[in-house]
Amino acid sequence: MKKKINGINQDWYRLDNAAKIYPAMVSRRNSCVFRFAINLKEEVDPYVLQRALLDMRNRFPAMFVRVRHGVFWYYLEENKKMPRVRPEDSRINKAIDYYSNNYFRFTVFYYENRISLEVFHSLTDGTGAVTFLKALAYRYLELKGHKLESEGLVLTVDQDPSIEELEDSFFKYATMNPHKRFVVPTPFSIRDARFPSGQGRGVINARLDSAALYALAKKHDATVTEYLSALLTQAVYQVYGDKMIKNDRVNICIPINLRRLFPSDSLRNFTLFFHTTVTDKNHLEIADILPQVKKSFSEGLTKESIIENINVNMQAERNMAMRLTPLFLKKPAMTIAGTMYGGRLNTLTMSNIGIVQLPESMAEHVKDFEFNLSNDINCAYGIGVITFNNVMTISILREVRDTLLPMQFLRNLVNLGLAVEVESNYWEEVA
Amino acid sequence: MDYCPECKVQVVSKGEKCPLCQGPLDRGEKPASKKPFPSYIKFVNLRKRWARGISLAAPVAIGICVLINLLTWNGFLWSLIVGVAILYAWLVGLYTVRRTDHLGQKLLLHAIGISALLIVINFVTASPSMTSSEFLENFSEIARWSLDYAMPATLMAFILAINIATLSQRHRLRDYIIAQFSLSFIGFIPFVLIMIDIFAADILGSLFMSIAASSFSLLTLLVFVIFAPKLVAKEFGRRFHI
Repeated sequence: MKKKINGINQDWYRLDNAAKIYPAMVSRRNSCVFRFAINLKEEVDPYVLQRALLDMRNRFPAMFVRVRHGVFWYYLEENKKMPRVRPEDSRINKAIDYYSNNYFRFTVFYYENRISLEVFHSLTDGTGAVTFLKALAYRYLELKGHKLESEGLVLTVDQDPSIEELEDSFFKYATMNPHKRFVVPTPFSIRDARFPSGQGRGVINARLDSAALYALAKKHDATVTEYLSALLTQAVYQVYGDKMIKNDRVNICIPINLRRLFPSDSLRNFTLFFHTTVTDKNHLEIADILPQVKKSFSEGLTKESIIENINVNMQAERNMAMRLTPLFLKKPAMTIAGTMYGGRLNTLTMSNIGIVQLPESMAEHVKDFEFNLSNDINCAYGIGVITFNNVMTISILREVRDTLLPMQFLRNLVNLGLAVEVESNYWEEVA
Repeated sequence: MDYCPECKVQVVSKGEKCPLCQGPLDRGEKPASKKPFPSYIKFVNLRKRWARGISLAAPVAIGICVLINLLTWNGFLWSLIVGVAILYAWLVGLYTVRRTDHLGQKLLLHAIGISALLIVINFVTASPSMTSSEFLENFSEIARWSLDYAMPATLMAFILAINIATLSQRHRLRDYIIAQFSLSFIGFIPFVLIMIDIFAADILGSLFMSIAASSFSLLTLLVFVIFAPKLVAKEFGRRFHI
């Protein structure tokens, strides 16, 4: 059945610019899957959750798709099968087995009082995923009999999707101006012993008072993201400083939600990655590291530099030779490019989704949120940060057995006067 | 709630030691009982292990056959038949049991694989020890079995199979279109051989099966183009979008 969105038939979609590379890069080690979770104050009923998920189809048509091979590019096509909710798997962010998942590239899990959503990055980015999860939880609570008001903060099933939600915003904001390619120098890479491939990852969640962290960042005249980047960089130097013989550069890859700078209602990918770079392992005080981090932010986050970055990414997509190359030839090239220009340029990855806002009637049923980044094959750590109801949850997802870096980072937070609560899946003991 | 005196953090998940420093925990009045994640279950992908084992065994088997054929050479290149048969069973067989691909694609690959295998069997068995000039002189006699009958019949059979699959699963018509068209275009190979036979060299004995296969391919394409033009245009539009 064709979806009519504002009178336009839409049963297939081109992949947006950021999404094009993920189907080529996905493997057992590199799942390209990220996860959001919402912890409710009551145990989740899987039957009600299943009904809520099915109700999402008409409101979020770009999620209920399957990835197909075209002759020149991958594309998304309406998936008429039924998605099923599942009990949570102990392996966080594993590659989605799309056959057993009815060809869907997202999975909704339940575990005790938690609803979690794992999404393949070709479908959407963090903003799109958290919007979907909020709507799903809202619908679930409605079906459980709670009286809720959306207050314009949650998309509801009685609304129709708009064409703007499905647009490729990269295409909209790219210009034809000449551009320069940004060169990111290769940083120090963490090479500790890893978990067996395909057998899951270690997760440590830390919860702390977001207002207290915000106050500390304000004292240094920095944003929370800048401050956390500096703290992470400091922890990397403290743990791995002795191993940095040839290269003491620490790059933290940070996805930036471009909707904050360029108006867009798109629920598809609209993020860009940029890197903070610090190059001095001998000065380990925050006062020394933070200026370099802030310099990276101020240079990398101007509108002009972002449009340059968009133009660079769009250049490959617009190049006629690239467009006419068959997919079976493009795929290995994209895989190599993703590996060479992706994870190798990061010491670790961090993403701060920010404050999640819920309507009051819904917020009283929600405890907190979690956010786990997808880890790149070359990047040992992914740190997801999300804040709700004055509680900041920092989720450290790691490919390596060692817990020294999370330990140092969280101890640094404690030394700053913050009270930290920790939970873990103790993966180093089982895998 | 448990507490780690070294890290100075509260630990809310149930565990023997601190998840950060692996040191002992001070147990609180109410010890942590929360299991924030499901228990670990080791995952073994048996299907992938079998596929890897077969992918290792197949080239080894081909290599051994070639070696034995060369060491016991009597003019008959039987290892080529065995090699192509193993290759067909390996690549097409593995593809057949893959869960991710639909019937149309599997039928397409089987059509190509079986046609290739029959042609190889024909040529190897019909010309075991001919010189190249004898081979070219007697080409139409040698190739009679495979090019005249076996290959066209195989292609017709698989085009018919895809047609039946398409008609019995009309809701999946869109999925089958590309495989249908691909196999129908391959079904024109007998037509190309007819043209070569008429205008260039005498390579075919009987033209009947080749004409039948080509006509059947053309009929299949025409049926789709006449009765489902929008569907065909849309499917090709999305598959070939640049």
